Formats: sequence, structure tokens, C-alpha cells
Amino acid sequence: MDTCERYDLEGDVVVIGGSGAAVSAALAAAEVGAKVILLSKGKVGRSGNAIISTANISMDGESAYRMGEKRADRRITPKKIFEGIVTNSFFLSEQYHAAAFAENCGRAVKDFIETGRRIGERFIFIPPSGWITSGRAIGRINRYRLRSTESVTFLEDVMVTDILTVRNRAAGVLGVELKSGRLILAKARAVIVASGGFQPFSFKCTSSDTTGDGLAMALRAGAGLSDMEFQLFLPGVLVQPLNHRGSIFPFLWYVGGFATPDILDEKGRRIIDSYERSILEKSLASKWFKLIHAYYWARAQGPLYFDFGSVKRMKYLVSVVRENILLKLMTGERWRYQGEDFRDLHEMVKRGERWKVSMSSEYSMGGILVERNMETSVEGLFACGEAASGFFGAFRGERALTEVLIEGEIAGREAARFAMGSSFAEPGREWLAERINMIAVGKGKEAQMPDYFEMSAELERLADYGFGALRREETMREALDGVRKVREALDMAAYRGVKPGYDTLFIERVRVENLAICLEAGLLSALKRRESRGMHMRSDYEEVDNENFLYRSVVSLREDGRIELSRKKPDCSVIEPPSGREAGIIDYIRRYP
Amino acid sequence: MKVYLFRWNPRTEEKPRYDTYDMDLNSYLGRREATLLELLGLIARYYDHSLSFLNHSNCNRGVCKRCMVRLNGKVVLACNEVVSEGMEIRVEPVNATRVVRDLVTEGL
Ligand SMILES: Cc1cc2nc3c(=O)[nH]c(=O)nc-3n(C[C@H](O)[C@H](O)[C@H](O)COP(=O)(O)OP(=O)(O)OC[C@H]3O[C@@H](n4cnc5c(N)ncnc54)[C@H](O)[C@@H]3O)c2cc1C
Ligand code: FES
Repeated sequence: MDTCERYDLEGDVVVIGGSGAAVSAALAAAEVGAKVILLSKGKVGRSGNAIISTANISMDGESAYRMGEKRADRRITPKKIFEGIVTNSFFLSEQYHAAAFAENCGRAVKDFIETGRRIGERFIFIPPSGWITSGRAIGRINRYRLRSTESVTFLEDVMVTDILTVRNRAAGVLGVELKSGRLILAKARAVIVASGGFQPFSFKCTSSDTTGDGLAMALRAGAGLSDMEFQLFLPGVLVQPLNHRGSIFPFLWYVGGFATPDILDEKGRRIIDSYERSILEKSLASKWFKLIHAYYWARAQGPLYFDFGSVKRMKYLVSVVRENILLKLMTGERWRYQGEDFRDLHEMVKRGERWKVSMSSEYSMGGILVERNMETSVEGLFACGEAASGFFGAFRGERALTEVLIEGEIAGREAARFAMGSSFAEPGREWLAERINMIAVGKGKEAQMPDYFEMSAELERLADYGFGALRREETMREALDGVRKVREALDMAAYRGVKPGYDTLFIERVRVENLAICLEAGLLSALKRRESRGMHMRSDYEEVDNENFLYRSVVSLREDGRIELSRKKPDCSVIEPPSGREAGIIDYIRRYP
Repeated sequence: MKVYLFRWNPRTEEKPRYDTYDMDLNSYLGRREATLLELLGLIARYYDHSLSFLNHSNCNRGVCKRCMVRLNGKVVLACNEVVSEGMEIRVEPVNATRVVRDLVTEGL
């Protein structure tokens, strides 16, 4: 029989992930003296959302000024950043997390940029206190950072599937090396989840690693998930032409201040006409940009179009030149953004054609519930980066690429300290053998396996239907019922053990199981939140209701496999949250410009 | 459209073969075009769950380069390449001497 081998490793700290959060955590843990093992589903620096991000990164004005940026606005103080995060979060951010971000962003980003520049990467200063580079550069810098130390052992193309625990204490992880099918057992005293967010919708601008693996694993291991109802929608993702489907090029064009197109709906109406004037004028330069546009885009019917019909030809051409200067500065190449050549889009404009665009979820505000030191309720289990929650609440008002550096550093340091001061928790032999069997041998008869691909498509359909940018009771409820059916079917379902060599079906099964958990958690949290707040927008409850909903939704897994919802008050020890109600999202934004 | 697809599991099969698929893109997608990466996903979903192509960590933006295959002999990125109804295509791994399985190779 064609069966898989097994490879055992042992370290103080295991890190799950291979992008910004994971690398920062691994380095910080190694610095404290821990023996670190990093396991990444993709290649380090060539996986995750970091490599396809817009790659904006920022800090406080004074730190930027000290880096020699004379145009830096020194009025952007850490205090201001702190207040921004809290108000942007609709007061759901844990204020101690927001404070950690504000205090550390200057140093963390400076180190990152300096490392990048040492290896020849480009960072273009964008006032008031940020830089833009390319996702590719972010990836290369992370890879370089990891390789610059010898105290981290790393394996790539390893999909971690389980976090091992012994009496509510992390003991290591199990995973599969995807090209060989080899089982990986990594025992450790502490585990850090840094595997990114989740994206359950059919239309994507995210990497295919974004299946919420770490969130689902942590939940199964006994940790809580929080803020799962909040997904960050990015307005301006290409639907057509097909070769660029999922690209954020239109978004970059729009925020870059190039020739402004009319944004039209299917009937040719300018959707800007539906915007409230005072809000529209402020939107471009504000941290509210994505929320303001998502608010109106979600209310427009059908797909939208970027139309350049009313833009003077000369103005458009000048914009193309300016855009190429920016691209050249950012990446060293003209015409190309990320890995694609966009000359065809300009040709379309010349022919009078439009770009078909939509919104797509870029980031999960929700994730694993952590304490101040990034530890979960499971002893020795930590989380950081997009996989964790608590920094940004209902709407992310600061850069995630900065976030992952700061959280990674805290999680790595704290996990290493924990590990160095404790002994191994040894999993029971039989229990471990059973877990390994579930991956290697499977369950039930292979002939009775359900169609995992079909289930995966069903989950996307349900997410589109009930979990999109504008929500209401009935569709959320139907979607939740649907997801629960999928999860029940999964519980009963047969599956076969992983096969040596690249096993597509195995990957699909794990994806379905993890996304189903995240989606159920998201829908349940959303359904119970009978108000609008940040990126959770409801047509049946437009008000921002601080009287009843100023809490974080927390989900945990019951013994019987059901997901259970509870509430947590966020830390509000510095800024007092508002009371009463706000008529809607836009009114809230007006109050906190 | 017609797809000739390289298939090989070097652990259990002596030599590669080509499977042929006659597909009507429109019936699956409601459009007559697909990216090559989408097409491979359709084949895995509707025809053969055992088809291996790299899909666990794809950027879909031409950045990671992990979706690289040969299309009619030419090396392309499957996520950026559009195929359409009426075409006849041959899809093979970039390097047939380093096949892990089907289109997945060492070194990708
Ligand atoms: C289109 C787009 C634009 C963006 N623009 C910006 C921007 O301009 N500025 C900004 O600050 N942020 C931006 N973001 C957000 C930012 O890119 C992410 O939030 C950030 O990269 C998250 O970092 P991370 O390390 O937590 O996860 P990721 O970068 O997503 O990496 C996740 C890592 O975990 C690995 N992994 C996943 N599952 C497993 C598993 N089971 N086992 C082992 N490893 C696993 C993956 O292979 C990958 O290496 C953007 C995101 C998108 C999608
Ligand atoms: S999937 Fe990354 S280059 Fe094609």
C-alpha cells in the first residue's frame, strides 16, 4: 500500500505560518534563546496575503521625521494613532492592544524598512507618515529576516492541521508535508498561531492559503475566537477582464489620486450621487475610506463600473504617466503591478470600455482571542498577526503589515519565556496515535466519501448569500442553517487518509472543515449583533447601538461540537466609549472624523 | 473546449499518460472564458478529484509563481492565462523529470 512516512521534531516553540507575523514571532522567540521550529503552508515570503497586499505601511510622524522624511507630519503622535485605532474600531478594540500598537509602530516599522533597504528594496514615502512598497518586497524581506538567524528550523509546504494539547496546555502540532505526504509531528512547550485570516466568499482578492486554518485549529484546541462578524471589504477589485480578476489595481488607481473615474451602476447611474457630500469630500484622505465606500457600494445594485468617459483624454494620459512613475519607484518596473501587465486596462479606456469592479474581503478583523501578552485561554498557546483579534474591533483603522510586526514580536517573546520556564506536556500515547490515524488512515469507507469540492462551493455560496457586506436577519439565518448542515455532514463523513505525493482531495477537505467553522462563527456572531457597527452593516438594523452592543462576540466550541456564543467587554480604560445610539454608520463617522 | 492533460503518479505508475476532457466552460461558469487555474479547478471538481495541481498557497496575482505550467509547450502562469471555448489545449508540468504528481513538480 502507498502510505506516508512520519517525521518527528522537537523544539521549545513551534510557529505556524510563513509570513510577517510568523517570521517576527520566530525571531523574537529565538532572541530570548528558544529553539524554534517554523512550519509554513506556503513558501516563506512567497505565501499569505502579504505578498499581494497594496503594501502600505506606516508609523507615527515623529519617528518618520527622524528617519529623514522631512515631509512627515509630526502631529501624527502615538496618542493620535491610539485614538484613531479606538474610534475606528467603534470602541471594540482592546485599548491595551491599541496602546501597544501606537507605542511600538515607530520602532518596528523603522527596523523593517531599514532591513529592506539593506537588501535593496524600495520604500516610497507617502505623507503624512507612511510608505508604499510592493508585496513582493515585503515577502523578500521576511524571507531574508528568517534566513538571517540560525536558531530557527523551518519547513515549507507543511500544512499544520492540529494543535496538540494536554489538559488545556499546548504540547505541539501535527501537520502534513504537502509534496511528500509525510506526516509531521512537532512537539513543543509553546505554540504560536500566525497563519493569517479567513476568507469564505467566492470572489477573492486574497491568497488561497487564507482558509482560517489557525483559527479553526485554535478553536478545536479550546481557545476562543472573537470579532468574527467583521470582515474588511475593499472597494475596487476587478471582476473583468478575467486575466485580472481579483486584482486591486482599480483601488490603487482610485486612492492614488489619478484621473478619477465615474463609478456607475448597471443602469449607468453615478453612485457618488448617493453619497453624502460632507463625507465624500473627506473620504480620500481619511482612515474611513474603505468603510465609507463599502457603505455605499453595498447599497448599490449589481456590479459597478469604473468609467472614464467624462475624463479628458489628456488628463488620463498624464495619469498613466504618473502612475508609471510611481510603479517604477515602487518596483523598478513600468506597466506592471504585482505580477501583471496592465496595459490592456489602459487600452480598454482608449476604446471607451469600462472596468468592471466589485468589493472583496481583504482582511479578517476577527480571529483568535488573546490576552495582552498574546496568549490564548489555552496555556502555552499564543496567536498573532491576522490570525489574532483584538486590535481593530469592528473596523481596521491602521496598517495590518505594521500590526503583524508588533504582535509577532510580543507573541514570540512571551511564548519563548513561557516555554523556557516550563516542561514538556507529553500527550497520551493512545490519544496521539488516534489523532495521527485520523490524518494517515482516515475514517469510514473511501467509497462513502462526500464530494468535498461540492461542499467547498456550497460554503462560498452561503457566505456570499448571508455574510456579505450588507446583511439582514433572514439571509444570515438561512446561511447559518446551511453552514450547520455542512458541518453536521462533515462530522458524519468518511474520508481517506492522506496519500503520498500532492493530495488535492486532502487539501480540499481540510479547507472545507476550517472554513466551515470560521463561517459558522462569523454568521452566529453577526446574527446576534442586531445593529450596524463598522464593517458589520445591516439593512434591518441601521443604528449603531452602544446601549446594547458595545461588546466583543466570543465563540467557543462545546463538547458536542456546537459553537457557542458569549460576550466580552473590551478594555476601555483610557478613552470612555460613547453611550446611546447613532442613527447609522455614516453618522458615527461624522462624529469621529 | 478540448483539454489534453498530463497525468502521472510516479510512485505507482510507470509512465505518464494524457487524459482528454471535452468541456463546456459556459455550463460551469456562465461565461466562455476561464483562467487556466480556474479550468484546473473545474477539472478537479467535476471530473477527477485526484488531479494534482498546486493550489494550497496561490497568490492568483502572478507574484508567487507557484502555478507555473506548460500550456501548449510554453511556460505560463496558470493564474494569469486566459483560455476560452473553442480552444484545444495541452497542459503539462514545467519540468517532466521532477514530477511529484500530475502538474506538481519539485522546485515549484
Ligand atoms: C489585496 C490586499 C491588500 C492589502 N493591503 C494592505 C496594505 O496596503 N497594508 C497593510 O498593512 N495590510 C494590507 N493587507 C493586509 C495584510 O496583507 C495582511 O493582514 C497581513 O499580510 C497578514 O499577515 P500574517 O503574517 O498574519 O498572514 P499572511 O500574510 O496572510 O500569511 C499567512 C501565512 O500562514 C501560512 N499558513 C496558512 N495556513 C497554514 C497552516 N495550516 N499551516 C502552516 N502555515 C499556514 C501561509 O502559508 C502564510 O505563510 C492587504 C491584504 C490584501 C489581501
Ligand atoms: S498563483 Fe501565484 S503566480 Fe499564479
